[in-house]
Amino acid sequence: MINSFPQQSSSGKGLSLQALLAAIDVEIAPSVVQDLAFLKERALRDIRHKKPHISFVLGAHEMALPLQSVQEIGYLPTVTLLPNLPHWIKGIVQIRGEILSVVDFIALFHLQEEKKFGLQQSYLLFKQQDLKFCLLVSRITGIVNIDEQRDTLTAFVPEKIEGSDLLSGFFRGVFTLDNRQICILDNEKLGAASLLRKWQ
Amino acid sequence: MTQDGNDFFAGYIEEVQTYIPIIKKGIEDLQAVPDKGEIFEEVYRLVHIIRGASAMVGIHGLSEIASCMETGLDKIREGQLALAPEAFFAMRETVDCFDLYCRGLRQGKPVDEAALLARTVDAVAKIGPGSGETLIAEEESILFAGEKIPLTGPLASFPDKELLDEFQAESEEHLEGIRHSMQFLEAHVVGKVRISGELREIVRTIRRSVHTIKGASAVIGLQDLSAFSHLVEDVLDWLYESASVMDHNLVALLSEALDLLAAMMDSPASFNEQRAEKVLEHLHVLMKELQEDGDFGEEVALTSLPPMETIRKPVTPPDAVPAKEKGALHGSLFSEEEKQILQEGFQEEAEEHLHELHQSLQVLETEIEAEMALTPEHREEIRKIRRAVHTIKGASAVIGINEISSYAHGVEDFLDWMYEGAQQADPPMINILAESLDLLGLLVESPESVSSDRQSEMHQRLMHCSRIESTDSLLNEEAPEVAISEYQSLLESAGPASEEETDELDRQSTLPETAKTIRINQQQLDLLINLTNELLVGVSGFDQNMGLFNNALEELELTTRRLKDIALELETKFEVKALDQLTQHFAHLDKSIADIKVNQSFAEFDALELDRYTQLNLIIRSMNESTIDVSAIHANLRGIYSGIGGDISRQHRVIRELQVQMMRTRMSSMSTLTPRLSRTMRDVASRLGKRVRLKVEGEQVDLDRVVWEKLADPFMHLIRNAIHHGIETEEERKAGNKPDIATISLAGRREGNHIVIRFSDDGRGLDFSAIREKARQFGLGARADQMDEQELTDLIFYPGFSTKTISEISGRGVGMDVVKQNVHEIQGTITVETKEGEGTAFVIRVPLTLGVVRVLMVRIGEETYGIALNDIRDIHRADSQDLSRNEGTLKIGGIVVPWYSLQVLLGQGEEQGEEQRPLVLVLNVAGRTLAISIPQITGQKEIVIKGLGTHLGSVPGVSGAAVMGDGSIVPVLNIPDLIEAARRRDHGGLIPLQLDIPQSFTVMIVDDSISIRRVMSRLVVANGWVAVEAKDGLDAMDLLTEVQPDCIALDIEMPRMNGFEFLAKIANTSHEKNIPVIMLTSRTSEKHREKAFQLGAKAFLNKPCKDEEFVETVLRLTDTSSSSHRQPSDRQEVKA
Repeated sequence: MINSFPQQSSSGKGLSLQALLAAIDVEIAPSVVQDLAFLKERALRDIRHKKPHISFVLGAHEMALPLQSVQEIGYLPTVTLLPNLPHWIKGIVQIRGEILSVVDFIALFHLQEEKKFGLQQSYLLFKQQDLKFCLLVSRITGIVNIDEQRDTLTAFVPEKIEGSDLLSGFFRGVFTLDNRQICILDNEKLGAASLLRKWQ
Repeated sequence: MTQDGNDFFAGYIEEVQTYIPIIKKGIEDLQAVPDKGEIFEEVYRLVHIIRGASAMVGIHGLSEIASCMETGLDKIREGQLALAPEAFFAMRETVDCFDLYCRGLRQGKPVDEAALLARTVDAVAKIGPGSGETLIAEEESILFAGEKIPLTGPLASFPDKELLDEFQAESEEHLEGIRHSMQFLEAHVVGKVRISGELREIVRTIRRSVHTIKGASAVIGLQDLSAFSHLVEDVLDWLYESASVMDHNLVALLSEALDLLAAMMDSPASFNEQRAEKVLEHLHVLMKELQEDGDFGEEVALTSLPPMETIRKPVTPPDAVPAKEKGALHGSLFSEEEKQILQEGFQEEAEEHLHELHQSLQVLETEIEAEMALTPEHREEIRKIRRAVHTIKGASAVIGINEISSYAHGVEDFLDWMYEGAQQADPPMINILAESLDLLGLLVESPESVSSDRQSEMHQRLMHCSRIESTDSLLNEEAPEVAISEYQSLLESAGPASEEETDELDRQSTLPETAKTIRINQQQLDLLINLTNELLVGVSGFDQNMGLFNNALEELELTTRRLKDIALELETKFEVKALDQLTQHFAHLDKSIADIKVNQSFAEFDALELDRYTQLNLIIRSMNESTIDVSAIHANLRGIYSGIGGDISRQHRVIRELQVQMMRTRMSSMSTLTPRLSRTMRDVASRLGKRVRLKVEGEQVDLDRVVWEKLADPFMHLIRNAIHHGIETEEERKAGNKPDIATISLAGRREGNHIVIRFSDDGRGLDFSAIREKARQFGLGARADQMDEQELTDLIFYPGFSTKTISEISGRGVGMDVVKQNVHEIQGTITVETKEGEGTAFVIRVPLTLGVVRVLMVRIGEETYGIALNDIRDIHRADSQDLSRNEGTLKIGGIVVPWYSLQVLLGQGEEQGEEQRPLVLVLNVAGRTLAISIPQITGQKEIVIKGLGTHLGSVPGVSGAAVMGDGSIVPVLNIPDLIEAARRRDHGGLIPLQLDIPQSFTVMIVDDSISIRRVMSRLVVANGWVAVEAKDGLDAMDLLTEVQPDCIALDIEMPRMNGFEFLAKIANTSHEKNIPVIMLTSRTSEKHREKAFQLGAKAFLNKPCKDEEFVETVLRLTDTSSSSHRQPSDRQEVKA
């Protein structure tokens, strides 16, 4: 009997701890599921609301274009020069069998030029309706997700970016992320810009 | 079938024929001594051989006959059948059949296999006890037995089950058609009626079907059916070609005859010959009666009727007809889609016929210059036209465009009269004919654009023309009367005669298209051609790699040689020495050699008696060997290289040929354009009251269909321009001692790799002083005075440049600038040659092959550019004394031509270090010769020119770019453009002429009423604006893609898309929504007004509105006062 008690108690204790944990698990299970569902839904909602933008450095500033207007990014192949073109159309390149023009916004909008690092030049393939060209960028910084409803875009202050008043017409606003100031470009306006389209 | 092995086949037949007398002899012997078993066995054996061998050879019919007899003989041998006289008869019958069969085959005649087999079967069946019937087989059952006895695999030329089935299925269709037609006749022929065109068509349909049945049944050997069909066809022939009236009795009899025909086809055995004979007899009696009536009626009605159709009446090409007739009968059965396809087919077909008749018309036009008698040649041309018109009529009726068919019918009547009745012809008559045919062409192209008034007016004119003449001739001649005897002789000969005629027509109609054609989707063809082009370029890509390969080989060769040298050096300098010297230097080597020697027990040899090999020796040896190996490999590779090279060049040749042939599939001749051009010409000339004729030479010049399509509009414009601007009025021409009728000529010919089309008129030529004056007005100022004729000529190609005022003629929005652009798009050039008072010629040069272009690769610095080889006349090094850099000229063979530096043209700065003998390209472009110096040529290539991407539509001086095999891009230069661009650049944009030309203020008028459009257009034009007309909202939407009007006047009620819908539609567009819209409607209610404003209209005017009110509204809405530079333009065009 004496021996059996502690044995019993110890085994009883072990059992009761497991039982207790199990009981707790059973009890909180529905709320855990609820929580998970809630979290999942919120995450989904966030993703849904957030519109991915490709951010890049152009001149001295960081800018971004909606992902859907960028068909691809990469390093620019050899550019073939063409005569009688404005200085901001650098020439033509061949990307996947397609001939595309190379557009330099820094030259077009008289942006401040950044010092180049490395030999390879990045481009992003801008596509809006029937307009398609390679946009030269200094470097690509990544993807930012912008929730159009929650994240407020501040109005663009021209003084802040020197010599960019021409381009500022195509800004939808400035998005502040941590300490980055990203100018969001309006792909539709750019796509319809007669400045770009007059060579069509 | 085994008929191919003819010798073998004939040999076999011969063999069988040798058996026949033996069998016959056997049968005779048997009959004499019936129990002679050997003879019986012999006969049996021979029959058995025939059966087996025939089946092997493939003469299944013969095999079956033999098999039938064999079975009979088998049974006789087993005692089931008696060897009675019937059996001998059967045997003889069979042998006869063999004989007939073999003879037939040897003579190449079709053998009625079924009948022969039936004969055998019949005869064999009669063998045996109890068969006491007559031994003669009934003729008829033999004839039609073919159907009842299924045959397994007879020769194709014999009626087998399959053929019969097919024949019956085909006949079913025809019978169905006949039934339909008969129903129609029964419904429409009540009492005695005159055979109208419609009834005649129906009769023709029936005749066609009966004819087909006749032919088909004759082919498969149903002679009775064929014979009966022939008799019925005779009646129908008469009815179609000669009869003028018919009555219900005739229809009933005909119907009976056709029923008999049907019954005969269903079950030939049940054919009632007597009844058939009776029906035909009745028919003939009736025919005679009706003929007499008809002649009587004919005389009375002759003057008011189109000429009587005679036996010479043309028959439409039979190949085209049956399908259509079926179509006409089952018209309602076609789905919309099918109708669409039919319609497209019709358009295509009609185009061909229009082209044919246009050719004939041209002959008539050139030959009949005054009133003259019609020669047989003329009649032949008329007949050709009539045939074409007739075919168009028939085809249009089938697909249900009754408008065309009824109009064509009228024209055909006129042509009938011209062909048969008219004795003389004069230019006005030909003119009327030409006009009527133009209208027909217009009807075919766009039926909706021709009002029925125009058609009936044309009909009346034709009738009038023919009536006057025919009454004239009627006064002189007796009315044609067909005597009964004559008719009978006609009828007797009708069968074969008509057949012959049909045959002849068959031949005629098939003459133009000697080869069979197949219709394929144009997109598919384009795709194939593009692929072929890519293939050609792809093969050219090999060349590049082959070049690299060759370089590598050469490198390898050098290396091998170097290696050899090294090995040799080592061998001579070191190996020999090594023998004595090295041992001293490398004592340990010596030791090791000594070791080896000891080990290998060569101790008995002295050191001098054995060559001692050091490691170095061995290495040198193996190096030598390797060198030899490497050079062997090199030689191998060389061989492979030349092998591949040969393969590639062979492939290259084949692919080039393939490309040429593929391109040829899309080729069509210039004649595809001419009907349209001559129509335009006549139309414009008549509107301007000028007399012009079109002369076409070199119609057979072939070019890509796409090119012709691209050239169609420019040619139209050139024609309009030539008649409007170039050709003087008749008085002026008389004064200038020119022929009254002006000539516009279009001459095409091939020149090397180009097609050169010369479009010229004999008008007054370009008016340079007027052009200069205009140029001065357009901002060139004094510079205009310095321009030479060439430069002034170039001005006419600038958009918006025109010296003439108001031209309703030059509509369609195609100006000379568009002409040039269109020609450029097909990589062609256009030049102008003009002589005052003598005329102007536009010379268009178009390259023969589109797609793939051969270019010369020119290297400047790091870039390679292509220049089309077509333009380059020669390449040479120029002497520096011939070149004057300052003046920009070069002397070539004593002639001074303008000289340019490609680097400068490309804006890459001056040439570096003036070369002593610069490389110069001499180009022939746009009728000018010029020289261009280039730094370096890297070769020539075949390339496919692509666009410069969606962003760069047109870059001055660059016609496109090509992607090379290695992925690099080669821009293709357009030298004249490049020079022009450079000149503009140098002058700091002083000459961009088009900028200075005042833009015209455009008002679009959208209304479904032509008269409203006309009135409004006139008002708009009177205000110095340009009017653009659209007939409804949809039309307007289409036009908006081409023109950007400054204002739109819009009606509400319109077909297809009404005004409100149009407003709602343009509100959603980005550009057009800003165009002010003025509602111009007879709807005055407030509700309409509100709705219009709600949808974005800017003003609401009620029809009819005052002119000032409209003008004011337009001015108010567009605020034209501020843009006062928009003065009344000189160039006002009205869209038709």
